[in-house]
Amino acid sequence: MRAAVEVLAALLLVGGASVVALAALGVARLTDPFMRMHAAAKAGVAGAGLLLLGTGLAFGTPGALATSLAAVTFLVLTAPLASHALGRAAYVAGAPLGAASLTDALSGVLQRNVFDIDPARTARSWTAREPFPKDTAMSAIPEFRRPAGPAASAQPAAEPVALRRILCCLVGGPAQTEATAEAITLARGAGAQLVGLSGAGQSAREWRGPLGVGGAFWSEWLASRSRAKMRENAAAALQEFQEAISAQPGLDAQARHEEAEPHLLARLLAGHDLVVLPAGAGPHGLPCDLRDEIASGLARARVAPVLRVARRSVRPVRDVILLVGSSEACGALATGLLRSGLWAQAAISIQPFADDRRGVRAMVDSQAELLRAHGRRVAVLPSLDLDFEAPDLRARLVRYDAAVMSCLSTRHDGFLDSIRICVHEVTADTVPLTLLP
Amino acid sequence: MTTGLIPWAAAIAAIIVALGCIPVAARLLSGPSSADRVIATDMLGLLGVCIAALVALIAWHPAFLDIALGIALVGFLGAVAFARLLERASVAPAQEPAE
Repeated sequence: MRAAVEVLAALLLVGGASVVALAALGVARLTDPFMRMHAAAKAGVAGAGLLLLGTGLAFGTPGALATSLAAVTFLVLTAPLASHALGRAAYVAGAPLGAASLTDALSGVLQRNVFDIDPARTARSWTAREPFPKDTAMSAIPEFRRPAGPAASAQPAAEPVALRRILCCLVGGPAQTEATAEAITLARGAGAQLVGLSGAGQSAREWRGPLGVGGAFWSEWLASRSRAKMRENAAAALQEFQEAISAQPGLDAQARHEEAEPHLLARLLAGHDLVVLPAGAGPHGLPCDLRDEIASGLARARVAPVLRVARRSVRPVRDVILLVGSSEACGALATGLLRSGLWAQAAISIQPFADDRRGVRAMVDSQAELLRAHGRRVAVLPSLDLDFEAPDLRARLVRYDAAVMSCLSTRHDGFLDSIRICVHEVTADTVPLTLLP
Repeated sequence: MTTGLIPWAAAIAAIIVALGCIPVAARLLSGPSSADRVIATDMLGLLGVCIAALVALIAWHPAFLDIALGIALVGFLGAVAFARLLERASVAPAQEPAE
């Protein structure tokens, strides 16, 4: 009796091992992942089961028999589950179907994606986060501290360009009403065509960074919340705009809704003479830093002059301040102001800052001369040291109705930026109208 | 009385299973897609179960059978985890840019 059991066990052992080896051969030799899985799942489990049974019989003790039976049961129960899950995952992950397969019964049922760790072959598109080149005013990197050179002096003529088309971005937020009203006033005054554009330049915020527990969920939540906020803002602003223009019968105005990414906005702007934006209009529909505002990006793209409206003053603009620093763009502020044709009656103050840097003095003088030549009243203020106190500057800026500057913020990123005070930011916060030519 | 057949059969089976590891390892190294590698890993786990059982026989110690059971358990969990990874981490295929 015992001998028969041993012979049976030996047969099971060798047979099971052979079946497992055949399964291994199948995994290596078959042509597509699904066939390989079929070999691994069926033949592999059958072979391992036979081998385990043989082992149990060979020991002959109840404990060993029970253990091997438990292992076989476990294998038979779990192998179908595991291989089904793997097969589905392989299909979704885009594993190739062999040439021998006649039909694909899952096409249209499951989506086929790409899973590959090789970054050159991943389907993720790595678009640049910063579509516009950075303004490098006051950069710590020496070669970017260029004074206004010959390139800057060869500028377009400073003749005012007639305002023919004005674009008003309907982004929403607290300053939108003011911005719309300002745009309508400008368009009425110049007889220009007014276009209200909503939705453009905004994209839902997506953050794929480490978000603690449930990162993907929170990232998704963030994106959908930001999208909903954007749509709400755009709808409210559009409605307000429609009401405002219906109250102005003679005005050539229209409203558009365009969902374009921030880097496409510059293309939409082509052909407009002025862009009016509310203050605090961020690209995600939520309040954001000055340097992330849409106005900031547009100013860097230099497609059209940008007018950022924080609030409207009841009186017409009488005092304008020009902020001249060491960046190249600061040399063209007067030209931009003259070209825009805005505020022809206002008195202009030029505020240099950090004039110990090369070229600042020269830019201030040449711009004052240019403005005087065009019959403006110009005063050059004493230079501002970069170690200034924000409340002092605010107190001095309160009397101005508008500011002209090259960018909204010169802070870039990094640890030290969090403790710096930026002239541009203080000005943009204090002065109601900001022109970024 | 024993026939003395079991140690021989176990040795032969161990050689066969060990030979079976070679093509699976080759597939694991060369598998063109990630799914192939996952399948090969799964198959290696199964071969590990067989080897543990055969070691139990050769060493004549039933405790090694528990190891076979453990490997089967971990192999299942591993396969499910890999399936989840493949499904979750795959991304939509690249679109042709508009311009």
